[in-house]
Amino acid sequence: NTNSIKPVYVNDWRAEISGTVVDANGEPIPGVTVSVPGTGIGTATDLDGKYTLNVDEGATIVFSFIGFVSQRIQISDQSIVNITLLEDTSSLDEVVVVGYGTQKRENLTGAVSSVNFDEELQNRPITNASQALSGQVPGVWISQNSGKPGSDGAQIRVRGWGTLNNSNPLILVDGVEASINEINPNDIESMTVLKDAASSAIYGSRAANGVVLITLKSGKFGERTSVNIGSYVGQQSLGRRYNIIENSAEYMGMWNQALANQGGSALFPESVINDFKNGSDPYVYPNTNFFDEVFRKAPITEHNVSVKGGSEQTKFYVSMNYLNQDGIMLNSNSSRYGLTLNLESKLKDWLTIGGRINGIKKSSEEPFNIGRMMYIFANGGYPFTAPYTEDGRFGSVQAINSSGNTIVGNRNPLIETANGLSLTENNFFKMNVFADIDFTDYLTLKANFTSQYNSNLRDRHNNLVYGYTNTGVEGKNLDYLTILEASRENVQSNYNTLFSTLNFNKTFNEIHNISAIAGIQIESTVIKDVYGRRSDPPKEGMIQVDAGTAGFQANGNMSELRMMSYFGRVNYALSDKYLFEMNLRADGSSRFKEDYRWGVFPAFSAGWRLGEEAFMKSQNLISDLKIRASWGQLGNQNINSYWPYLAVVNQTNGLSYNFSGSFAPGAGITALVDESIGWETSVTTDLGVEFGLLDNRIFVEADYFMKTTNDIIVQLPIPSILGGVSAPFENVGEMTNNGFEFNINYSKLAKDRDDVGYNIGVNMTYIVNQVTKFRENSPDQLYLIREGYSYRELYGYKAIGIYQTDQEASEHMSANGYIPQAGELKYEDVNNDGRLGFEDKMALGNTIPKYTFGITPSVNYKGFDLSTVIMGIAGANVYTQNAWTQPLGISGGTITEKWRDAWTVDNKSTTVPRISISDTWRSEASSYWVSDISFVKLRNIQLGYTFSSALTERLGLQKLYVYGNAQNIGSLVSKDYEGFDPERNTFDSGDNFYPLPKILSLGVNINL
Amino acid sequence: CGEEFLAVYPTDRITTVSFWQNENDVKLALNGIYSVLKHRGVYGSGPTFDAITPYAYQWAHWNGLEKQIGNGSITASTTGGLVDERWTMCYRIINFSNDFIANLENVDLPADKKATYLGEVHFLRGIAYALLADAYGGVPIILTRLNTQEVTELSRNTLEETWAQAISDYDIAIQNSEPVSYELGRVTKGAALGMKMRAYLYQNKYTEVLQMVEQIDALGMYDLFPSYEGLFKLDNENNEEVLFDIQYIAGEQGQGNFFAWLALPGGVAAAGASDPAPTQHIIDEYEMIDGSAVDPNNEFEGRDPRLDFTILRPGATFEGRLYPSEVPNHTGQRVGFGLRKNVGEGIPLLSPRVSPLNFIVLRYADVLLAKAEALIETNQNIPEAIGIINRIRTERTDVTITSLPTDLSQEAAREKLRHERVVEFFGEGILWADIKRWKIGQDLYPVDIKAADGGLIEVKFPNGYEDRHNLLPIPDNEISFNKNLEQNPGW
Repeated sequence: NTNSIKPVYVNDWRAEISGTVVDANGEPIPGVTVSVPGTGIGTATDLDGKYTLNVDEGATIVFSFIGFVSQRIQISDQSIVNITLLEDTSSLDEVVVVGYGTQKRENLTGAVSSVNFDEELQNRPITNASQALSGQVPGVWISQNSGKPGSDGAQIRVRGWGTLNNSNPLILVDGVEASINEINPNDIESMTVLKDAASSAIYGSRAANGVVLITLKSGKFGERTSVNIGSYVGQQSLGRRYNIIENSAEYMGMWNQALANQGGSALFPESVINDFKNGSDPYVYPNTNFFDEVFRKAPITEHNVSVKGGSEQTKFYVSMNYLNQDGIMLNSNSSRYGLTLNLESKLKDWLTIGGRINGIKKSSEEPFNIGRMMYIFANGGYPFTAPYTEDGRFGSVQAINSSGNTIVGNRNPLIETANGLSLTENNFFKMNVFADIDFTDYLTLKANFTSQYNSNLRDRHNNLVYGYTNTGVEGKNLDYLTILEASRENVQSNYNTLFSTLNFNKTFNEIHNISAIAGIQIESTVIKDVYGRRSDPPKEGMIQVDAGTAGFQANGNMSELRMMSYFGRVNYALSDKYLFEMNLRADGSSRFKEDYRWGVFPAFSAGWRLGEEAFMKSQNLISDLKIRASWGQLGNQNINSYWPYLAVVNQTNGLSYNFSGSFAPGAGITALVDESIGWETSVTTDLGVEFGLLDNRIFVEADYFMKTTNDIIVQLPIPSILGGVSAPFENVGEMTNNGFEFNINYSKLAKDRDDVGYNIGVNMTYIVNQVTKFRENSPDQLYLIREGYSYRELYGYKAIGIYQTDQEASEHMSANGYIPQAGELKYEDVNNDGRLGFEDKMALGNTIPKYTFGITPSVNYKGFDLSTVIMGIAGANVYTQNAWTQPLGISGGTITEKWRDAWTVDNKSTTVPRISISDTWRSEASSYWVSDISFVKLRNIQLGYTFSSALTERLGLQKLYVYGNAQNIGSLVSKDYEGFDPERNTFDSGDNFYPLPKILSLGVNINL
Repeated sequence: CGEEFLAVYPTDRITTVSFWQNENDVKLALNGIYSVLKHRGVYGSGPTFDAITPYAYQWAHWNGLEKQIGNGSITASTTGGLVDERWTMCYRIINFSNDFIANLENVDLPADKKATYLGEVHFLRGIAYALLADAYGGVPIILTRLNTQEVTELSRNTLEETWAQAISDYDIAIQNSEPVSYELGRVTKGAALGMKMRAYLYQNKYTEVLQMVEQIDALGMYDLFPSYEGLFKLDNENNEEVLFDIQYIAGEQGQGNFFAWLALPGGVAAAGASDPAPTQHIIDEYEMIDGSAVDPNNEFEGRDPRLDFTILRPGATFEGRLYPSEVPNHTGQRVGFGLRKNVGEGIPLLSPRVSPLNFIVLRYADVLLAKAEALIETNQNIPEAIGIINRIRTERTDVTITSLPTDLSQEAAREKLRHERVVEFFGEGILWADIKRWKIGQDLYPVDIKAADGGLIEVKFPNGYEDRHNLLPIPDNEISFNKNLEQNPGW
């Protein structure tokens, strides 16, 4: 009981003050700093939120805690001061993780966005940390391009595609480079994205495409040990898909029509079509939609337990995580175990040491060749194929001619899903130790060593699975591998890094604050791979490589990359209002030849906190205002070659020959090199403004940026007359990404449980990408790379309609090699020469989205909370020609419903050309196959309930939260778009791709 | 210390710094040039090249574009397949060879060894120029190492100059090679003479053809193999009929041919793709043994045995299974015939799905028929020419069909000669070149390709064959790099 306080006078001019600090829900907050500014007097609240402090009468006490609005209380004669701290959503006082340190958000001069992993984010069934950023952060475009369990990481683009090379941002976990796939999302405390050059300059060479800093959870000194248990179970299903014709009779008629259109004769006799029309036995006359057969409803579940706490000297965080996800595609699944341990100890006043251990074991299963499954489906998967026979074997084509043979070969995709196994075991282990030495209260030396080990072991074997017609005729799938083989491949990578920084932070004359960092870092990556394979085991089911009796294959190689860096940063703040920052980093990379190894990258930025000026204090509308500007250079060397400057005489089997019946190894130079290649450099200028309105209930951040990447390391197209060798890597490309981004947040906090609180965030990014320097007259290609065009802009013929008569076609294409016919696509003949040639090609639309946006409304009331993530892109196009969208694939395949409206002499007013098969004319890259991919997607919606503290206390719990969540629910997209979820890679045709699942889940979160 | 730390180098490959030091390096580089012969743009498509002619149909149109070239649907901007692979890979041979010649000078080797290697490399470069001349007409002749800039300033040489380059390369090969090479599969004097003969034949230079045949015969090494069927069997590789072939082996280095897998009928052990498929037009070329008319009710009875040695037709068996009911046709391949020659019946294919069967580029029957053709075209000695044709028709133990009368007119003899080449060489990828050099495209096309059930599959050159089709277009992309490259007329 806190009321029985007896004042104890330590000194007679001091009074003892005590009290409890709670949050809006009345929950005690441990670890709140209670201090008297300028005196060094202070304490922190204990586990029950209680504190005791001796202060002068009349003193001002400040209660502060990260994430809460600080409160100042002037002490008069009270001895008990109970405080309710409100959560701070304006995030102005937030401490943001920046390169090699932290900084108060209000003092930032660069473009930085951060996401705290609050409950809303944490309880979503996020299987990969990258998915969490979706729709949350301006300037950051997240696109989850695959739903394959175990490899469903999203593509992250910070302010667009910054280079012709790898545009992935640098991911750092607790300061150390890592892959985002190797993190348990539940362990994440916050993610910070450094977007402009000034913020990321400290990372120099690899930061040109932005930096994502991930901070993992840790305990706190003097914190009560708490346990968090989180679990959910969910069900996944296939969302949007291709609408394919599933009526066999209709389908056969369309195939016959396609043949007739091309001057051929019918493949399916009328009698067979009629049998299917009239037949009802599903084993004899199937009408199969293989989407219903290959895809399924699949469970997903995840359990996470974490324990954290700390004494005055030592703090810790331990978590264990288990994820089990079955794939929505048959016979695919993934499970993951994760363990994280963070430990930090203050050994001495001047010495802190700590360590982190992180291990992840993931194993994923899929059929022997999952790509083939989609291939066979799209290029086969006929509706007249029975998925299974009556006696449970795999089915075959049921379209049978008079002599009892199947009219076409079997292509039952289920056979591919049942074929063998590809098992990937991913073992990740990371060890990290660090030490901080405080020489003085303003000078600290930090050292950090990390060793990471990652092994990807893949075992593959196939088996022999056939389909059977209803009458028992065996039907082998197209190009089915009938040799049994088993292989094992391991790719092992080791990454070691050591960095050390000297940190300085001091305020002179109360108004000049100078902080500085100087550091050195060395890194080394070694990747080793090994592969072994044999075929023909003595018996099916012997799946170890050793069992094979023939077909011996072995590969093994090693790649290595080393880097060495020196870096420094100086921050100067004058009166906390005028902010300056300077960064400099020098990087050396083993990727370049000796004289070209080092790159030096400077950056400068400045900010003015106008809101702190006296003249701004006199009004109430604008509660905060800061303007900032930055300029900086960054380097990039992340290309697909470890020794791009080395002229290599390639020695491969492909370059070998045979004499006298024996293998004769051969060699040749198949790649040209430019020995003088060096760093590519990007220069970013950023102008930003941040302001709060109405006491920061509305908070706006906006940035305008211009990013130019110079000396892009590219392999320019070279003529084939050089013999089809690969082009040298050269520093020749140039690209700009200019645009703006903003984030508007409107929030109203709930004062207590019975009050309504809500928050809506809207963010949007607009980027114009342009390749400004590349090879003059670079060759035409569908995904064009050429000066003056957006990177990978679609390029081809413009389809302007359909020829209504043969005469119209032959007049229009009078000089063409191939004379099209009525019903075929009409392409614009730009130069009017009566033939289709490269001169007639034109830009057909950009594939990099111009706009990306996210909207995140949420509301909470009486313990309930509802939160939503809506995201999307606008102003982007995709190319859709693939085996699904082309009727009948390449030699027979699925037909989408759109082809019902195909041109015929009786259906002339249509935009769909006549149906045909393997049609070279229609397959030309043209605007006919370009779709606007702008979409708005309900990425996530969650409804949760926090039980009242009265109930949870009775249960002996700190907190109890239950929720339901739905992910990838649906999207609005152009009617013309055929395909899976529009959240996809825009640089391919979207065919051979594991669709994103729709996930419905229920979960609970318990705090002990 | 920093520089030392950053100095890491690959340990799995040779860099140019440590190359061209000894004979082993020379041989590695030389083998590397031979390896290009296996590319599908050079000889690697094997029988599939016949799909350009009326005699075969390629339904797998994405494999090499023989279908599109052979039905008139390519344009100058068509990419992929033979249209640009022949260009690219022949120039790979040329560039590799030029580099080889330049570097060989600096390697310390006995003069006779250098001469042998130079002979081989010139032979290979000669093949490249000959294939280019045949496919594209005159092309830029490159004899030294050029950089990325220099190659964009080249112009086309004339057709005559290009052929002359091939001939002069072959001449060095003839001079520097032995009748029997130091390893089977390497260049021999016979191979070089034979390819030079073919170069003359393709230019219709018949006097020179006769000279070459004389020189080949003077070697006394070549003859018809007694069995036509056996000629294409694994056991009989490198027999007396073979002047030059592409050497393949089984095994895991992927040193086998890929076309056999494509051409194998679907549904057999190794799951072939039945591509290309012979058409009725080639079936019709096979005569009756006794010279009578084919019985439409029993059309495969009494035919030239080469039909069954070459083609899988309904009622035939393949690996003991009946075609096409037990060995089915492939989806999309409704032609009703399969290829038997060059697919290696009974040879199990390992993964990668390649066949150890060598691919014969030039055999003695071609030398004989070239001689016969030259005799006919120069109108020198028609009876001798017919005598040669009759050797092909009667000399082998497994092919004996009615001899032709020797008193034919030049015109009639020409017809017989051309017909004999089609029958003898179908499935060996050389008939396209004959159509072009004889300029008979206009007479052959349009050609209907019929399905087994009589239905129409496609019409080759539905709008007729034009002169321009005798050459492939220079790939548009190449012209976009080099404005000096003139496109072939009509493209």
